[in-house]
Amino acid sequence: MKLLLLGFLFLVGCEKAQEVFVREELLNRPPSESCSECHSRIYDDWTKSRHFFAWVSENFRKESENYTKLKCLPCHAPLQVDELKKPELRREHRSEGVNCVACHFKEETRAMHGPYDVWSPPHPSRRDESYVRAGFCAGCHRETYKEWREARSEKSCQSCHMRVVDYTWIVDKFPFFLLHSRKALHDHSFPSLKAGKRDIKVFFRDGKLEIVNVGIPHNVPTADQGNPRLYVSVRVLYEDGKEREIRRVLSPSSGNALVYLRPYSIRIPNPEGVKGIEVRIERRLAWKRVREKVYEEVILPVRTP
Amino acid sequence: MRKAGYILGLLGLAGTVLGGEVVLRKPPESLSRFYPPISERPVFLEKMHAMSTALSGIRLNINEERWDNALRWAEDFLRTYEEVSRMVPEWKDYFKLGEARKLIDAVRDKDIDGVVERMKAVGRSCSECHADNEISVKIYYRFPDFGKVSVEDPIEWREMDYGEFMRALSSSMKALYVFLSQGDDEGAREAGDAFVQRARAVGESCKKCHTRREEIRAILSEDYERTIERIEELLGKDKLPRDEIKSLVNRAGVSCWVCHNVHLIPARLRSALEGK
Repeated sequence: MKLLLLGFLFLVGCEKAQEVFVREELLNRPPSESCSECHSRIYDDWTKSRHFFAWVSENFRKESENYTKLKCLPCHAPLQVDELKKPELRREHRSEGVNCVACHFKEETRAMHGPYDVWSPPHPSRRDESYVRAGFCAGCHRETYKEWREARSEKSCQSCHMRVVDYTWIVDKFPFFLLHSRKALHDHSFPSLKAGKRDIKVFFRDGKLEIVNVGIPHNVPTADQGNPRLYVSVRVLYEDGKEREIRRVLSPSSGNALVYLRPYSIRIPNPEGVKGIEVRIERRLAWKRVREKVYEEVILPVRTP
Repeated sequence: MRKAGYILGLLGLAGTVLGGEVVLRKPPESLSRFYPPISERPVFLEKMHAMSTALSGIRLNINEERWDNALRWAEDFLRTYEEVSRMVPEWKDYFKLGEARKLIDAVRDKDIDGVVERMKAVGRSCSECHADNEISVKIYYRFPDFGKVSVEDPIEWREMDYGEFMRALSSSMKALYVFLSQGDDEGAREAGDAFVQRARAVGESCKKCHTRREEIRAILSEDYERTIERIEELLGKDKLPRDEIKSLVNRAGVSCWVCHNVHLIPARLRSALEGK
């Protein structure tokens, strides 16, 4: 089979072969399942992502008042995702949310765009540098993009949320993968990731507890319209046996999310009598009801002699 | 031209006159099919605009003596008027379908007196319906249903319905004021802390409808944010500057008025219409 294909290519040349093998329906905004025929691994990852649930999420259906808040809809079923540009709402396959063609098919070239230069008989392909830049996500994730720019990080959105998960063929259908070389395969489940002890530092000084986001180059939590939260529970233990609990909820809508490298302060009453401070931070993702622990530590006061 | 001028002035008569008394009734259930969230667009309102535009089309073209154009607008008007008369069965008696059909004849015959008479009759049907229903429909479909809005209280860490959250916010603000007034600094710090956290969380409810940052900024201004920040800062001082904090609390209250002036009365009326 491989020899036959190679022979055919030799005889008619790549461009001719492209015309022979091209599948017109792939250039007419097909459902994502069509893409899974050749890119099953990427497709499977995507079905686990929030992009996959962007339209059908019960939370979104409720918040958009049964899809009648029209200004919310384009980012949940975009027609075409372009760098730094707010997308338009597409008509077809809206239940697929942010689907394969929304991100990869460009009307201007009628080709599939991506970060690699590849020869792909079923559809024309174009290498497009915008796919490795954070601006690609900025059309919808505008607030997060602004926060990231202010953080001046060298990491892009893709560095963390589309990590390399394998070095393999991006086409996994026989025999077509034989025509390709292996490439870095990026995570299409777009994990939301969870801050941990490495990313959050807590200090007690000058009568204040300071919580600092030292590891995530955007606000924590971050969102454009959803409302994820951090729950900060501070239990102050005093030398005289008394205790005091202080609670905070940090969220984008309250404007008090943890900005990268900017301390968030909580005043501790009677700081001179403090024996220790138990700090517990939990998060709740916008689409979940449950809280998950991200940080727990007892902070001891530093006594100067 | 004199009669055309009369037609020009006639539309003014179609305005709603309430006669010093307003009686509001809950809009019929059948209307809800034509407004979000059941319908994607406010279809009924769009039909109202279409009829109003068609009437303007008739008037403008007759004034210019373009009777063919006027006839097209009259036909447009009749089509929409008939359609709307079927949309809400409970309101069918408001419609003067015979008069609307005669309006077409009058325009076709270039009979200005007839046009004036029929437009007056049709205009009256509009204003009668508006007098009875326009305000309650606006309250129902233009203003948000705060019954569906909930806020997670940053102090108790639980979802509160909007009324409960507003009461909690208001209670912590009043408690701060009371403790400051009677010189109880520790009580003021505790109540003040709750007030500051809740005052920040209030923006969460605005975001349910106002999705653009600029809109939120117009309600919870930068001044509001700075004021809340300053209150928080002053509550951390060893000796509380009581008068300054009290004055800042009043300043933060400006944002309460901004929102209440727009939303409170419609929200109360809506509750009343729903028998709550």
